[in-house]
Amino acid sequence: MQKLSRREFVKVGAAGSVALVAAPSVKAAEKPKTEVWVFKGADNRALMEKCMKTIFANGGFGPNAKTVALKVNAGWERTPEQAANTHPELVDVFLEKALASGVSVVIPEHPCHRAEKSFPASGIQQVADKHNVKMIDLKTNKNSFKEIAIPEGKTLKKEQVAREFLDADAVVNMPVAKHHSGGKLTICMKNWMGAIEGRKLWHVKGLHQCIADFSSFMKPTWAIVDATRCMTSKGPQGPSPDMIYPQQVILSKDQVAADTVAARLFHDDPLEVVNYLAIARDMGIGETDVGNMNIHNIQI
Amino acid sequence: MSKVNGLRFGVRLILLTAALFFAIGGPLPAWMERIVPSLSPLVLIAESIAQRTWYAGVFWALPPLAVLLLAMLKGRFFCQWLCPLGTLYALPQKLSLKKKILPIRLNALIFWIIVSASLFGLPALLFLDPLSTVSRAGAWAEAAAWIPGLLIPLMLLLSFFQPQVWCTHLCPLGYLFDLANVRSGKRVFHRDRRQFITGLSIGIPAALLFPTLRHSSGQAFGKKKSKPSVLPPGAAEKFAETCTRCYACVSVCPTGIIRVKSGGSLNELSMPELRFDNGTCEESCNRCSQVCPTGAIRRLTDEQKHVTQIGIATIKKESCLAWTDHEYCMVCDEYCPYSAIKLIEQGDVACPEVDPELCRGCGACENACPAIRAGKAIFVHPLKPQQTVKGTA
Repeated sequence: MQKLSRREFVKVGAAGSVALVAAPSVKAAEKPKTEVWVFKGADNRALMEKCMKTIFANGGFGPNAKTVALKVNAGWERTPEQAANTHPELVDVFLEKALASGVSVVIPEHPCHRAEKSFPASGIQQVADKHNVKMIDLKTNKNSFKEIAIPEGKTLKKEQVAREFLDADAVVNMPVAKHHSGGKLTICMKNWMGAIEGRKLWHVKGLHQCIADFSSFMKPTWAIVDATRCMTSKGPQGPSPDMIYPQQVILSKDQVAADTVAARLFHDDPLEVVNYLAIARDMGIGETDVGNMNIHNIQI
Repeated sequence: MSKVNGLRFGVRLILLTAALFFAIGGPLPAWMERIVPSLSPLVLIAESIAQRTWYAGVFWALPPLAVLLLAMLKGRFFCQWLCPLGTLYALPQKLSLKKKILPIRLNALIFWIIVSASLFGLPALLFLDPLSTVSRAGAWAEAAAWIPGLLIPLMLLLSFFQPQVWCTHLCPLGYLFDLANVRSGKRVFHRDRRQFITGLSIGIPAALLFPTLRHSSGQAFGKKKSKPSVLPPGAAEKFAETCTRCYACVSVCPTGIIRVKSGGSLNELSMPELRFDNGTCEESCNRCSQVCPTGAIRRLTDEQKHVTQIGIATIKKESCLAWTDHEYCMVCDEYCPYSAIKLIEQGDVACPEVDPELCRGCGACENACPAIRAGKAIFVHPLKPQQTVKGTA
């Protein structure tokens, strides 16, 4: 950077101050908008292929990234159609493209049902096997967990996190969006409850605050939301009689923004309904104002 | 050792090892768990008489009937070549002091008590069946399983004094083989006619009196009334009495929730029961109902299992995070595979209520409930008899 003389510095500074005072909107304009991509189309694989192209066109998993830890939802013994887990077709394409880019991928998951049941039922075990990717059952691999501090956490100050997520060069959060009786909705932020050990206690401490607190610590390189088919009742396990079929994949580097956009499929004003989104806004964890987002609607 | 003896020793050792593998079960297919305890024709016959039903079907009745046929032709061939318990008790033979510590044979008495009590609906003493005893070893990790399980080390110890004292003097299955042998059966029956009479005079009153006694026996043990047990899906009404404590269901349960009861009344002593601290009765699982060799757990189809109500959950509102602490919780609803938790809105917070027409009593809610202030807030209470759910989700 070229050195400024003192005189120039004062000039520029004065001009800048004047501009700031005169036009408060300048400050907002200087802050880049949060990029969100919404892919729509009937073919799940085509959606995900476009999503992966977008990822690689926007920095991929980061410079020199060698390892990726993928947080899917494979926690329930439910079929892909029942929408309790991330759709295996999306995971299949993710693995195919990610591996082709030269990174290695692991899929750690703390399932709600036994992994022996939920991983194969979700269909994700099969696609992982197909690509020789390891799924790690955090229900039985207890020594995977490592304690971390959450400096910005209000209620949750520390948590035991699967070290695969801590050690990876890049972390990708890839949940299915669905109804949830306690969390109202579960998308990206709440999906981290499958990466930690002490989730039972979150309900005791205050579920929504803990979800927001943990998301202040755990920020993925990419958040990919499976909104191909969604439960709008009886979540998170279902089966639900109230299904919607948005046929969307939502992509962002900001998981709060991805959650906000996905939540609008369920509620007109998600921040009114989903407390952890409102808390995330107040804590400044991510973008919850769609006015501050650059939403690319891409029809496929 | 002669050639035949050497061969026999090898065969027996292999069968003993295999039987223990089957008993422990683990990742083996469920039906393997059933092989050993269901081979006993004594269990098949006594249970069928006691329950007045041919619970075993054709497939699982054939092996024990083949064993019986073998006994008719060859007497105690099964004992000498195949029985895993016999092999175990034969191991200390060389070291045995060969003393007669049990001078009289009691096998006829035990056999006739079992048969006569079974005729009156109670298969008393059937837990002494040697093949159920072997299978019991699979539940060695359960403390309460050692009450009936002590039989094995005790008899093994006695074998050091009197060779194979169990097999020759006590085993009711061995006695059945003696009786069934076409060449010697009549003579054996005649020889033991006194034990026949004694067996009848103990077995019949026992079967008649036991059901009236058992309600007071809990107090007789000097304990407060134990919690009623949730039983495996398919449990017959007289589960406690018809179960031989072979623990095939305990070993085969993939989530480890079928445990051995400690405490309780005499008829429920060391019986299998469901406890949900470590797992739940999974929606898609039907293993325990496939392995029971006694009909204490009726065989269910997967569809039947799915609609069987083994209990109903009830909520302790004063412990509940939602009802009392106004927390966003609903973990019970989250984990309920049958959508049997209804959401009652209290302001913005959803609170749980159990729909008794949908709840199966699988314990997913009880297992997952995170409440700690006053302990868990949702518990499964058994249904006796078990039912089919009324509602459809």
